[in-house]
Amino acid sequence: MEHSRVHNTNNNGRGGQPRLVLEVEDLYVSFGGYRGRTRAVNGVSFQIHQGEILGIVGESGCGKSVTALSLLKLVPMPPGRIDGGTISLHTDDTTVDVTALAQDSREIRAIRGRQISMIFQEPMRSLHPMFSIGDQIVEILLQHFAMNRRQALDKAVALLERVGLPEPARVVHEFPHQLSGGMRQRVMIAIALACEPQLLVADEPTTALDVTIQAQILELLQALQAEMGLAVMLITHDMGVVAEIADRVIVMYLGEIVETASVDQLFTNPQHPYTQGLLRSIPNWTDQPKTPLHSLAGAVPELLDLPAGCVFVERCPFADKVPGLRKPSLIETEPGHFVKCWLYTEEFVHARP
Amino acid sequence: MGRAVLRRSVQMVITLWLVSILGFVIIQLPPGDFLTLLESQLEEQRLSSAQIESALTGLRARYGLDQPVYVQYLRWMSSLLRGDLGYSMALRADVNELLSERLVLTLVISFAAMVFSLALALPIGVYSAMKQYSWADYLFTVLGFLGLALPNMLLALILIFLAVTVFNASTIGGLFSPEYITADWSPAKVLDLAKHLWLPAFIVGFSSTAGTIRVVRAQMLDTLGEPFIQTARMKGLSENRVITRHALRVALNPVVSGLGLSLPGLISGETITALVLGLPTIGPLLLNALFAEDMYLAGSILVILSGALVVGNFLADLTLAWLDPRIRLVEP
Repeated sequence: MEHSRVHNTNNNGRGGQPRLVLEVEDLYVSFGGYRGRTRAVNGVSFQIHQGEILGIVGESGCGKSVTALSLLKLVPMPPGRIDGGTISLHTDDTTVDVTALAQDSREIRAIRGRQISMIFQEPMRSLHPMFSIGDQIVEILLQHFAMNRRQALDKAVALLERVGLPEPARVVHEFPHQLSGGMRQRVMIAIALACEPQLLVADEPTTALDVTIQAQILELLQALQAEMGLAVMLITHDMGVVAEIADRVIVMYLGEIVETASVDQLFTNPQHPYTQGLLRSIPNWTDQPKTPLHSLAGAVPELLDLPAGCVFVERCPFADKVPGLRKPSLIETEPGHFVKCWLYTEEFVHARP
Repeated sequence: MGRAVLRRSVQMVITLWLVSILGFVIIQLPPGDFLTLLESQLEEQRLSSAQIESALTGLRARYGLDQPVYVQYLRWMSSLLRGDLGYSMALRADVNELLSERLVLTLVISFAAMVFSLALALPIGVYSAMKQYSWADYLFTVLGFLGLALPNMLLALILIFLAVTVFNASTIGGLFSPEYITADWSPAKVLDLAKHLWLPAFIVGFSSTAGTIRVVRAQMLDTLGEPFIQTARMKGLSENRVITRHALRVALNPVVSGLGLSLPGLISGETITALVLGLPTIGPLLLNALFAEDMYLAGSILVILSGALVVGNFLADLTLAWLDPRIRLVEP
């Protein structure tokens, strides 16, 4: 069902293919510190098309948030640094390499909020505590559009209504502390989508919310995405969220993409040992009571001390059967399904279980 | 909002009343009173003990010192309510008269020191936070701690020394040129005051500048790490706007409440500086009044200082409520 959505949204690209919005190629990001540089993102490449929801999963510290912040050049620099790669944003008439823009430049600021927007993990803290809801929406509208305050405020009320807030005409004059967490996340979505961007980056948008509200926010995102033909990059560590709304999934580990596939492929045929472990560790309600929860062996190594070869070598159950000290490359195992693992090379196919 | 203001006003009056009692009692605590001092002075003048006794009895009756303490307090209090601060026994003058000009000058110096301190501390604090651990940040940190550690009066002495030795200044200290000291108020006198004001304002404001820089820097660093700053950047706002409109606004809260508490600190902090620089302000007057056990003068000054503290706090709270909706909307 996810695929039908991709196809019936805008087809202004070549040959019925959805238009390419963003293309990240071989991105490297690192952070300086007292004990040396930490390599947070190591050679990440992916594409996002119009009308597509791309899920990025991985545990804390795998580089997913840094990748997201890099798209808007919001990684604090210093200590952060983009060491290589390009991030190409395709608009109707031009293509811009975001990595080449200065952090406070007019060019990147024209992209932020207008071409690419972002919502964050903690709605309780991502709205300014001292400005009214209306002011916070008006601010982004006035930043990018030529309109007066009155018009902007009317638009703000309309946006609040669109994200499903009751009594938008009243809420527009209220302050964040008067709203619940779910309402605040709706306000954040209204701010992010106010200028009708091409791409919405949602960094764990439901993590801080309780489960019923999570579902509502995901539904809202899905509805707005379909309505606006938006591309969404959804960052999460929740496989359930990915299964529910994403079209394609990227699995990251220690700053690298270890597997990428469509949602159906990934859940029916997970290939990387890390992905397999992740999926096995989701508790199943049909399990007998007291069944021990499955967990991945070992712990995430320190980013300062990365393994030289395969990033997963220290925790991989098949590590003794493959040359783990050499880095595998991303291999296409079925159409659109890529995995970075020695087990899927012809040479080591016999090692697979 | 109106009810909150009313409630706070009533609290302020009660606080001031309690302070007046406390102040009065504390001044009475040391053994003896103003007349004990006078007695020893009269003895030195070789008057007969009968003469001394009659003079003292007369004065005692005149100042009401023969009455019990609570009667003295009530008399002082009732005249205080009528706007009469009493009579200074040591200086033989009405307290109102003694205080009026000094109070104005003290407020002028304190206000100038506050403005000077903020004008310097805000930009430096913000800059230090944005360039954390840069050489400029370290420099301001060192200067800041120096400012905190250096007593104001020592700074005053150093500056006087420099002014006289290096810049050959003929007059230094005071708030007026000699020809204006006893003159009536005129535009020329105000101008003369303005010319002399910068030095005491700088000295009195220096240590609070250092403190404020630290507060602003720490607050800015905290605020810049908040997710709503990320949101502001995500909107495409310029870094200037993110700093001034989004970050500084939140970072200022503790600075504002600090200002409310700083008024009496500025007044008492200037006492020694005022002595060194020969400034006609309240501080030295209070010091002398306490030495002489001149209770109406000392008590009045204490009440005025507490009044400054309470009113300053009240103003700071009003400002905070105006700045921050989270405070504004809380109804107890």
